[in-house]
Amino acid sequence: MDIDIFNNRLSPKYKILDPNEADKILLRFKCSRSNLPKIKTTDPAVIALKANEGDILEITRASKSAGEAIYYRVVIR
Amino acid sequence: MRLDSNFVFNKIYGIEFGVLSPRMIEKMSSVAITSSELYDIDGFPVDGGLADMRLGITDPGLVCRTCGNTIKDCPGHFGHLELARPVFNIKMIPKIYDLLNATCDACGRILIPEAVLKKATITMDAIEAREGDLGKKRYVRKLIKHAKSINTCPFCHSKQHKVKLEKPYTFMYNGQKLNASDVRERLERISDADLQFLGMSQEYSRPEWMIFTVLPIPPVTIRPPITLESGQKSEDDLTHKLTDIVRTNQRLAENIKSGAPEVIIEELWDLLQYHITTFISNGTAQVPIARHKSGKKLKTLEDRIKGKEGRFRGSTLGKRANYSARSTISPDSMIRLDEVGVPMQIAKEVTYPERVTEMNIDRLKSLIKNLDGYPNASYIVTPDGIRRKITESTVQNILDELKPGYIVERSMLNGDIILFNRQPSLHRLSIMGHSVRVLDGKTFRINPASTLPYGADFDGDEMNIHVLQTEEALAEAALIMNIKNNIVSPRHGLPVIGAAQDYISGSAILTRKETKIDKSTAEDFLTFVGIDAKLSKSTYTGREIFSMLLPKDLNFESESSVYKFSNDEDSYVVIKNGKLERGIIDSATIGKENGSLLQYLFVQYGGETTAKFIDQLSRLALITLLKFGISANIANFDLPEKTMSEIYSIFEEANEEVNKMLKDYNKDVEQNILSLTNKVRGKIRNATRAGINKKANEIDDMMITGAKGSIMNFFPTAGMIGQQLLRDTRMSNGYDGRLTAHFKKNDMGLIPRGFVVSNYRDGLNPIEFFLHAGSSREGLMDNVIRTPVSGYMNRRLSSALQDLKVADDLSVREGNKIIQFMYGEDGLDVSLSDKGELNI
Repeated sequence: MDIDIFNNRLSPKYKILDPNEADKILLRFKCSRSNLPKIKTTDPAVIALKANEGDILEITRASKSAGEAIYYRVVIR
Repeated sequence: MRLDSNFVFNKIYGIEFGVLSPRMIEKMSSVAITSSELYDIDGFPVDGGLADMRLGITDPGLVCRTCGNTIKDCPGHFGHLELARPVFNIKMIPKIYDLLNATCDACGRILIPEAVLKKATITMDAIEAREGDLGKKRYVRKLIKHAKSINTCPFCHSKQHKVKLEKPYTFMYNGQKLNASDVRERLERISDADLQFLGMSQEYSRPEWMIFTVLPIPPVTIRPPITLESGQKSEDDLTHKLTDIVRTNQRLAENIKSGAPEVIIEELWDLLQYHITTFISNGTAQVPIARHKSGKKLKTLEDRIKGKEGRFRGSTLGKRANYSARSTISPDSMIRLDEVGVPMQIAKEVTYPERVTEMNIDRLKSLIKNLDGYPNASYIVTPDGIRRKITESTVQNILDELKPGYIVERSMLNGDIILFNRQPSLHRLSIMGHSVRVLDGKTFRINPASTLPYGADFDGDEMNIHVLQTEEALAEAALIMNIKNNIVSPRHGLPVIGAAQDYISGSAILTRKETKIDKSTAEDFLTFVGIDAKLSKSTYTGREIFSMLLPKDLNFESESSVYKFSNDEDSYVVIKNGKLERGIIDSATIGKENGSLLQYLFVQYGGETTAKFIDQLSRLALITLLKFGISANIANFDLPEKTMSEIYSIFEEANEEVNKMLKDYNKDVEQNILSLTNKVRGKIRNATRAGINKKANEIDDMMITGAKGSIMNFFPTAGMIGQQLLRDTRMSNGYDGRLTAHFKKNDMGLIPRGFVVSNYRDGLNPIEFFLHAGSSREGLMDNVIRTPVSGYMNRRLSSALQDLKVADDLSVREGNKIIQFMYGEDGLDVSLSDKGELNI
């Protein structure tokens, strides 16, 4: 049975950044991919998105203090 | 350390731990130890003795015979001792035990068939790649466990017998003792190819190396003799143990050479094993502890590394600081909030290095001239880094020589910024910057308004100060860490510094509507507070006096604690243009972890103004209390006849209901009774609250202003104590079916299960008292058990988070690793927010 894991109120919004956007993020935070939080290729969300190693995901989560909070994660093996 | 361009900077790839081979020990040795003597008759180190000058140098002026350096640069050098017979390394016994049982008695191969081993090689590589060294270690442990369970060697098909370990270090095989030589022989038979499955390596840790044939002798630099006042040398514990080892080894060698009976050799061999064991670990189970003649335990190698005072927890993680002092603290309301009273003795001893400039040279010269007085200076440092002590004989030269660029180490002065700390340092407010106020006496004085962030009280608490040694540190302490700038906590956005108890009572009395102060008293007040104001009126209200502390443009509105209780419009705080128009200033406006007014002042006017306000307010509250006074008495706990009978009828009703429940259902009503007793408590509380005599009741005043106490303390004192609980249930254990012998068996009524009808004021009867004590004890025990548990949890959390910081783009990072992209997700500084929220 296929379940859409994003169709759940607890599941945050994911987006794969294109290389251009990804570079912008790295520049904005003055860091390299290795300094970002990581997410495994085996993570259900990564599988569902068909993201590849090295991709940067933009994750928009609900936040108690700010309403919405944006996090970035780099996909690792 | 000197920065040398020749240094090579490299990343450490890994560290390999291993066992030293006898060859290695000999290779790294600079001396073969041959004599148990330390010094000859003239007091010179004996060649080949344990103080041999090739092992390093401990005396200033002497030169090391190995490296040619003096005491400062000689790192010390290992020696070695050729053992007459092999000896176990006590720390390796469990591993040796594993190996003996995991390998064949006859051929020395691992007791796992070739085919399985082949597969194991592949699995092990896979696990290592996947889980790293830890996974490999786990797998090896599994292999060894498997090998130990096999009874026939898959290679030579010989039957296996178990080797038994008789603690601490005797191996038995087939009822016979295996001595260290036998064991070593067997370990030698293990083939290099099998080692990887046993968690060892031919290169770094051959199994037989776990048994000493050569003992490395540590350099004298790690066991230096100390010269006593009498001029006599006293040797280090390690050296004592080493002489025992060398002496025993010598006797053993002689006896073997002269062909002494086996028994004697065995005995000496055992003794050597004992000495080497205690040399490594003086405290192994079942090994007698080696002691000094005085009976003191010898501190040997393991003691230096292990435990709280060991190298890791004691030296690497726990360091001692220079330029610091420690003393008992005591309260002083008359010093400023941001001050700390420092005893003269400490101010004289702990110094600050002040750099000489054109501007301060005259002042510093006068300090230098002061020699033993206060303030004085104790050392100067010349621009080329030479430190010179200021004494009667050097003072003139130093005065002539002193010019800008020099550094003068002068005593602490009033106004110096220092760090003030109380352990345990649980959060960043545990260390704050204070300014020095040199006082008589021997304790540190602190303003009682600032006790909360430190968690300090004055029942014997001690605190530390640190005198800052650089301008950068000084700037940080004066600005960022200063207590004035930390009045509002970054945790919840409320002031952690503020009034408590008497100060709240005082300001509440002052700001009551009816408080009137005549001119001369008002003058006294303002003088005490330190406000210079012209008084024109003949009488002032307390609110007018209070308004003199406020900034002239302050506009503020807030509920007061009294307002929350009474809904009295007059107690609602309204400040317009720096005038307190109405309202009572109490814990809701100026209290610790409460004070909305303090929080507002801090955010709007900054730390300086807030600190000044707290200072002046404390004094004003004090002198108000001095003038008007507040004293509670037993009559404050009087409740009207009507209330008392109401409380009793609450109990009677509940009692009847319980009896009815028990009669009707008998069993399974415990839960209902329990929730009934909770309701009863609530009813008693409310009845008590309604019945409190509001007029001229100082206890009530203290309660509603938030100075001290609450209805939870009042109702059991004046009304009824109620149900005593143990583990959240009614009390039930004790005698068979009853609490004490005073009750009927299996009576589950209210009183037989720990309901206390008395109150504290009238006193409890003996049975009630006993049951009440039971409940209190539970609270005490919980507290005792919880404290270390939460302490450890806090320690784990702090260790995990200690390196996090907020970067200039408001991201939270550990090093350059991003943990959170925006601090708190909203990027707000909680201490500058409105209780954690944004208020525009």
